[in-house]
Amino acid sequence: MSGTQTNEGRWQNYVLHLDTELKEHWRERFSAGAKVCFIMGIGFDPRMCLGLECLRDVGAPEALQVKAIEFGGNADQLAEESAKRTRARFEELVNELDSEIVSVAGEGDIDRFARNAAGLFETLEQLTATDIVVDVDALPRSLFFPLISKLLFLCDEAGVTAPNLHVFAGNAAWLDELIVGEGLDETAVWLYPYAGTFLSEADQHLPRIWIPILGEGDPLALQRIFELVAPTETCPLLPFPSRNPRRGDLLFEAYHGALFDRLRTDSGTVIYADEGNPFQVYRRLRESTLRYGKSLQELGGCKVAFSSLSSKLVSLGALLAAYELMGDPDHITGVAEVGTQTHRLLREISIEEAREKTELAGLSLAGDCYR
Amino acid sequence: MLPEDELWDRRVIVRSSPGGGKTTLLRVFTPGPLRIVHRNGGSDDQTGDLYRGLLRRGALDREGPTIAAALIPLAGKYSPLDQLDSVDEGTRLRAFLALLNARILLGALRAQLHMAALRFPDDLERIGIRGGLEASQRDRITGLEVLASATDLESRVARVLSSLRAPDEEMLPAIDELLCLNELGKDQILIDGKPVRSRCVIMLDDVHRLSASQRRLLMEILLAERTPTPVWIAERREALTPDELLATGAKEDRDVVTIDIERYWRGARRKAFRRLVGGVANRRMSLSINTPGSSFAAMLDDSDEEGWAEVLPKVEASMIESSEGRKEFASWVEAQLSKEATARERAVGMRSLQIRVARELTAQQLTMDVFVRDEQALASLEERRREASNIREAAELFLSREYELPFYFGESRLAELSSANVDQFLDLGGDLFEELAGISGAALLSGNVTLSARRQEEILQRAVRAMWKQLGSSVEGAARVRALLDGIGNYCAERSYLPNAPYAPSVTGVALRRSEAEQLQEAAAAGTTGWRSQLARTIGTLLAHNLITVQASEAKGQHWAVFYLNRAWCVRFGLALGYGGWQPSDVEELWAWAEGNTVRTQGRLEGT
Repeated sequence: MSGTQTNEGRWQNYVLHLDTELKEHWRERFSAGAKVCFIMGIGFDPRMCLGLECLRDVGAPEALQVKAIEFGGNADQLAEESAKRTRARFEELVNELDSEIVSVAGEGDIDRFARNAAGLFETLEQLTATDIVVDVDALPRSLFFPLISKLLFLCDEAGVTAPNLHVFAGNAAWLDELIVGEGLDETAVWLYPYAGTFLSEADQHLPRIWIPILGEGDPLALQRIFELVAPTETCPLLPFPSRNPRRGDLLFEAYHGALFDRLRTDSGTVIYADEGNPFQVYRRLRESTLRYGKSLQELGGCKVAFSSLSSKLVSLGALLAAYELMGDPDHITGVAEVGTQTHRLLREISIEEAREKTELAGLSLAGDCYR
Repeated sequence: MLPEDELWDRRVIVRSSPGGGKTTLLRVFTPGPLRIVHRNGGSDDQTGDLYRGLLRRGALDREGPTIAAALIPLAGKYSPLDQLDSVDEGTRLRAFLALLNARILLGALRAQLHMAALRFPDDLERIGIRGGLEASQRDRITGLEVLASATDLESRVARVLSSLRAPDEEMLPAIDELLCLNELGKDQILIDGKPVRSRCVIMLDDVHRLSASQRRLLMEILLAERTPTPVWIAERREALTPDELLATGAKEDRDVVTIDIERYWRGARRKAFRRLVGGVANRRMSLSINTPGSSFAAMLDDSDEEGWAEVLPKVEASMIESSEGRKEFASWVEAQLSKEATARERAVGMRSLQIRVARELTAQQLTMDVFVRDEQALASLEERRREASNIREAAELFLSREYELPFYFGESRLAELSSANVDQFLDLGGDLFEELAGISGAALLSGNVTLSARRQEEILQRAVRAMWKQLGSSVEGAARVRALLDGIGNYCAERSYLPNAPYAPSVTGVALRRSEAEQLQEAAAAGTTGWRSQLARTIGTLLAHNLITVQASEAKGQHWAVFYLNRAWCVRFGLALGYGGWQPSDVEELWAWAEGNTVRTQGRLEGT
C-alpha cells in the first residue's frame, strides 16, 4: 500500500472469474466449507440480485449471510418501479438467509457519505466469514470506493488471518448506457480516501496528470472534474477491446468537443484497456502513473488524478490503482468524482433481461490466492 | 463600486450570486493585472480607465503598484476537515486556522515574488519575513522555511484526511488566531534584505465554500479587530442565512465595506451595466470576428420590418374594432392611422391606443356623453412619459404574443435579461456570439454581419430553456425552487395580459407585506421544520442564486418586500423586462406554489 513501487504491481497476476466459471468457482468454495458474508446495495439497478442469485444457487443457506446497504438518493419513476422489482426479488432470495439491512447516511454530500461508507465496518470481526464478497451493482462509486478500500485495508492489517476479499460486478455496457445521472453537483470533489495531497498549496507548482476513464457519461461531468483537477496533461482511457468494437470510437466522438476542443487534450495520450477486465485497467493506470512519475522526476515529480465516468466494473481498476499507490510519496494519486442528484432509467428493464444480457464478473482482491 | 477613501484600512466583503464577477474584481488587485495596467498607463484604450480608477484608490502610484494582493481560494480545501466527526469541533477549527494561516503566509510571499518578477518556488530564498513569526519565536524567517513549514503542515493534514484509521488528532496542527495578519504588515516582507514597496492584501475567495462553523469563526476573527494587513472576503450570497437574505436593507458599519455586485448594478446603474456588458461583448466579438469598427450591438438587428408590415393591417383592424365605433375615440383612431412611421412603430402605436381605449372603457367615470378624446387629450396622456413608455412596451409585448413576433432581441434587452450578472450575460449571449462567428465569409467581407431579430429570440429562448434545465442540478431543493418560480411567473403572466394592461409593461414580481416577510425571517432564523421555515429556505435559495431579487417598497400605505423574477425568466413566462410592476401575495400562496399547487384560493388585492 505504500513505499516505492516495483515493476510488478500487487495485482499484476490476478484472479478473475466470469459467469459460469464464477459459479463453478463458488460451488467449489462452498464445498470446501466457505462461509460467505455478502455485502450488496439496495437500489434500482436490475442487476442488483444477480450476484446473490449466483451464490444462492450453489451455496447452502447457512453458509451465506447478507448485509444489504440502504442509502438515500432520488430516482425517476421507471427507476423507482425497477427498485420495487429488485427489492421484491431480494426479499425472496434472503428469505431463509441470515440477513441484515444497514444504512449509510449523508447522500448528497459525497465526502460525508464516503466517510460514512468507510465507517460501516470498523473491524473484520463484524463480518464473521471466510470470504467477504462486495457486490457493487447497486452501489454508487462514492460508496463502494471507500467501502472496498476500508475492507482491503482491514484485510491487509490482519495479514494471513484475514478472510478472502472478492468483488462482484455485472458487465453490461448496454445497461450502463440506459442509466443516466441528472442534476450534476456544481463542483467535483476528491473522493475519500483518495484526496492525496491534491488539496495542498505548497506543492501546487507540481504538474498534474489526469486520467479520466471514459464511458457513456455526461461531458459536463468531465468538465466539472477538469475544473477540480486543473490538469497539466490529460490522458483519457477508452474501453478497447470491447464487446461493441466501435465503442471506443463512439466515445471518442461523443467527448470530442469536451476533451479535444475545450480541454485541449492531446489525442496522442489516449490509453486503451479491456472494458471487461478491471485488472487491465488497473495495470494501465498504474503503469502510466509510474511512467509519468519517472519522466517528471526532474521537475519534482507530479500528481496523477483518476476519475471514472464509466461502468462500475471498469471503475474498479481505478480503485485498485489508487489503493496501491495511496500514501506513496513518490506517486501522489487522487480520485476525483462528481455527484448527481437523480438517476433515470431510459427504458423499463426487467430482471430477466438484465440476467440474460449481463456477464457477471468476480474479482478476487485479497486472500489465499495471493498468499 | 469601491470607495476611494481609506479602502485599504477597512475590511471589504464582496458578495454576488454565481458569475457576478467577485473573483474577477479581486483578481484586478493581484500582481499580474496590476503590473500590466501600470505598464500600459493612463493613455491605453483598453485599460486607461482602470488605471485611473486604481490610482484614485491607491492601488497604484506613478512608480508602480502599491499593493500586492494574495488571492487565497478557499473552495473545497478546508470543509473536509469538518467531516472528521470523531475529532472535537474546537480541534477541527484550530486546525482550520493553522492551515489557513500557513497558506496566507505562502500566498503573500508568492504574490510579492510575482510583483518583483521573481519565480515561485525557485526564488524563495531571496524573500523573508522580519520581526519574527510568533509561531517560530525567531527574528526572521525565510521564504524557504515558510514553504517547508507549510508543506509539512499540509502533508500532515492530508494524511489525517485520507486515513482509513480513526483520525490521529495529534497530527493536526492547531492555532487560535490568524497570526499571519499581524506578521504581514508594512515593511515586514523583505526581498534581498530590503522591504518591498507593495503592501500585502489578503483576498479570501469562495468563503461560502467553508463549513458553516469555519465561516462563522473566520468572520468573527476578521471583523473583530483591525490588523496591519487588509483582508477582503468574497463569497456567494448563498453563504448568508435565509433570514439575512430576506432582509431588504443592510446594516451600516464604518469599518466594513460590503459590496453586493448585482444589487450595485440594479436600479440607477442599469445604464452603466449595459455599457459594461456592451464592452465585454465587443471584446468577445473582436476575438472571433474581424470586422473593424463594428460593434456587437450593430450586429444585432433590432427590427423585423417585414414581419411588422405583414401584421399591420390586422393590428389596424383590431384597433378600430376595439374602439367599438364610439365617436369619442374617433380622433384618436384617425390620428393614429395617419401617422408616418415605420411598420413597427405604427403597429405598436395602434396597439398602445387599443390599451388606452380599454383603460378608458373600464374606467368607472366613463359615460357616453363625456368629452371627446381628442388629440390634445391623447397628447396630454403621452406627456406622462413613463406611463406612455410602459404602455408602448406592453403593446409591443402583446403584439409579439398575438402575432408571434420577436420581442427579446437587441443589445439593450440582452443586457436587461442578464439581471446584472455578467456571467448570465455571457451565457445568454454565448450562442449569439457563436452564430455571428459562424456567419459566412462573404457577409464578413461585405461588413454586413447581422443576426435577425427573430433568430436572436430563438437563440435566447433556447439559452433560457438550458438555464431552466440546469436549475435542476445547480440548486438545493430544485423541485420546490422550480415550482415556486413557475407559480410566480405564471401569476405574473396572468396579471400582465389583461386587455387594459393595468400594470404595464408587465407584472414581474410578487410582494409580501413587510410583517409577513419578517415572520419568514424569524422562521428561517429559528431553523424549524415547519412550512414557513421551508418556504423561507426556498426563497433564500432563490435569492442566493439570483433567481429572484428582493426590494423594499411602499404602496397603499404599507411596507412591502417585493420579489422580482430574474429577468431571464421573463422570457420563459413571456413578460416585459422593466421593473416596477408587482402584485401582492401572501406566504400561504407562495407555499402553495412551492408545493406545486397553482390554484388560487383567495381573492387578490389590486396591484400597484
